[in-house]
Amino acid sequence: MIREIIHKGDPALNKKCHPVTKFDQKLSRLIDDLRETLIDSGGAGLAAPQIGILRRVVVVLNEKEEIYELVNPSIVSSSGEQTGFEGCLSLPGRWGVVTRPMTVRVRAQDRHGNWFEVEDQELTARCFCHELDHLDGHLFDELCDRTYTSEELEEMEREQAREEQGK
Amino acid sequence: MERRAGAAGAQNRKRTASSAREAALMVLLRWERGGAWPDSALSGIIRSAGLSARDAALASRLCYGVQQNLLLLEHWLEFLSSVPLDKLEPAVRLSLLLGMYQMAFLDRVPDRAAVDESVRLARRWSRNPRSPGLVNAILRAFARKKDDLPQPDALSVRYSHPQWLVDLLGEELGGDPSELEALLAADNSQPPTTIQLNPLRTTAEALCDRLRAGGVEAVRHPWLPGCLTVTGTGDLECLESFQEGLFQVQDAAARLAVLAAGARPGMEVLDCCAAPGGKSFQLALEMGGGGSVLACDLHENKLGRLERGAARLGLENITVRAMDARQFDPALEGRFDLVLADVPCSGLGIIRKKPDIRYKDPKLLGALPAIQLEILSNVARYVRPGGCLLYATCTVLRRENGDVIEAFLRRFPQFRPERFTLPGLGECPGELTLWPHRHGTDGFFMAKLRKCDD
Repeated sequence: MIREIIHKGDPALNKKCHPVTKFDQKLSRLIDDLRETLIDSGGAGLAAPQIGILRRVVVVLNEKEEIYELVNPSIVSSSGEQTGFEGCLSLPGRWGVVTRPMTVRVRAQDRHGNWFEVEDQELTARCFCHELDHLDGHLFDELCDRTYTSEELEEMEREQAREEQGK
Repeated sequence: MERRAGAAGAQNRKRTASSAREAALMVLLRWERGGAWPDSALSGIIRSAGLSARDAALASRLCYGVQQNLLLLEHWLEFLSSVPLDKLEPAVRLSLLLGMYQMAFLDRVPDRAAVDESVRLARRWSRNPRSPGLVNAILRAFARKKDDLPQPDALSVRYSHPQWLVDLLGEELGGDPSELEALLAADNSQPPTTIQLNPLRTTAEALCDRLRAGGVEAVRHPWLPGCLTVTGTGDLECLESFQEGLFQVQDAAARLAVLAAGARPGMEVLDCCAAPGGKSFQLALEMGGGGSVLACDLHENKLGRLERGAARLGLENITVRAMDARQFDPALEGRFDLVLADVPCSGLGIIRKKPDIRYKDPKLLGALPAIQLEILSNVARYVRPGGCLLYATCTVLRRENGDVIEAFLRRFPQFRPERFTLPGLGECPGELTLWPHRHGTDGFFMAKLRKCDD
């Protein structure tokens, strides 16, 4: 079922989420809903608190458009650095520059409770960090000086393209 | 995390398709992941990729073709691949199926092009450096052997219908194997697009001329007045004549249901599961703009489309509102001369238009008859004495059709089956099932019931 994504201002987005202890039908349904809602939204990742559920569950799309389902996830190692624009389905139309690691390794449980590790880079690594922050009540705009609207961002990019053409 | 569409230089850009084949791959990937209907994913991906009309048509043919032949293509792939199918990455497996489909079913694509394009997809969509080579080897072998591939005996594989569905359809057709095969073949055929003209704004001749001027070939439907059959089209809804409300896209079966209902000027009509609105519009047109149609749907987000459609066609006698057809509304009791209940169903009659329907989980279909009876029993109370109730589905299963009507009639003896006469089909004794392979329409069921005065 596609669920409603809540926006900044809703207190659920600032709460620390509870670990999952029961790996039951209910958890499976939650994960299925997260998957469906993510695909419907066209986003790259979604955390349970974004649909108002305070549980440590996130789904993340990788570059091949496959979905990682991460229950009780934590970052075990990270390396490198990337700086770029980031956005959030709970802050529609706002973008900010955030620095994140280039490669991130996550340890998590699957929907049946089995532990596994997964490593990914670039956009997917950024997404791991972004979604895991949600589980502790943090949004990306806490990590940047200011945010830009989609229009401002496009204007900046047009300017940049003009400069590059000028060179 | 959000992604951005179409902005150059941003790191988190949403991936857009660069070719018809890549668009098809992306749609099929999303479909297999289980979160998107192929039709809506297809139009979204085609739009964001900015494909030409020709590429959009190819992307759509590829998506439909692979879904329509999925089991057959996988059967062949199993035969050729040294890697078990479930060990292949989804994108690699689908690149292979896309290539095989083009070589086996599309005359105008040279084998060479089909192979190269799939190799390119594998290079772009797989992180495994060996994938392009694997795709190349399998597809070349397929090109060599495609004229003497094993032809499966099982109808399920030959026509790519899951076995449970073949069994079910076979039962419905009374165990006649040649009819069953004709139905399965019809399910995989490309149906003609039919459109219904708006008699308030145009005539069949004038509309044919207008469409032809816009590069669309249209001929009158062989037996259904007011209906045209259209070929060689891209997106009909982009045409000026559509925007001007001269026609709507609708299968002949839906139009027949409206004709069976017998709406006449001055009637008060309720369409209780109305979205996307085609039948409501037809009802309003049948009444020539006089009388009123209350078009309701459970899903509020579908009402906007209904309202826009009515405005486009210039219909002022339609009112739109959200309503749960299972919840009794005392304000509507006994008010309507005609109630149309086009209920949610398994959709097994429209497989030729929505090929993914055949892969639905059969367990989810079991609950439908109870819901259908619940809706019918509730909206029956809205019919005034002497008025009529028309029950319709786009499925061919007796348990959702005739059985529901039988159960309803046992519960509400004041309703009686009512005969109706249809163009091309003659007189029908209260109910009618349409079949793609017999009638050339969508598979469809309609039953007309009259509420007696006493």
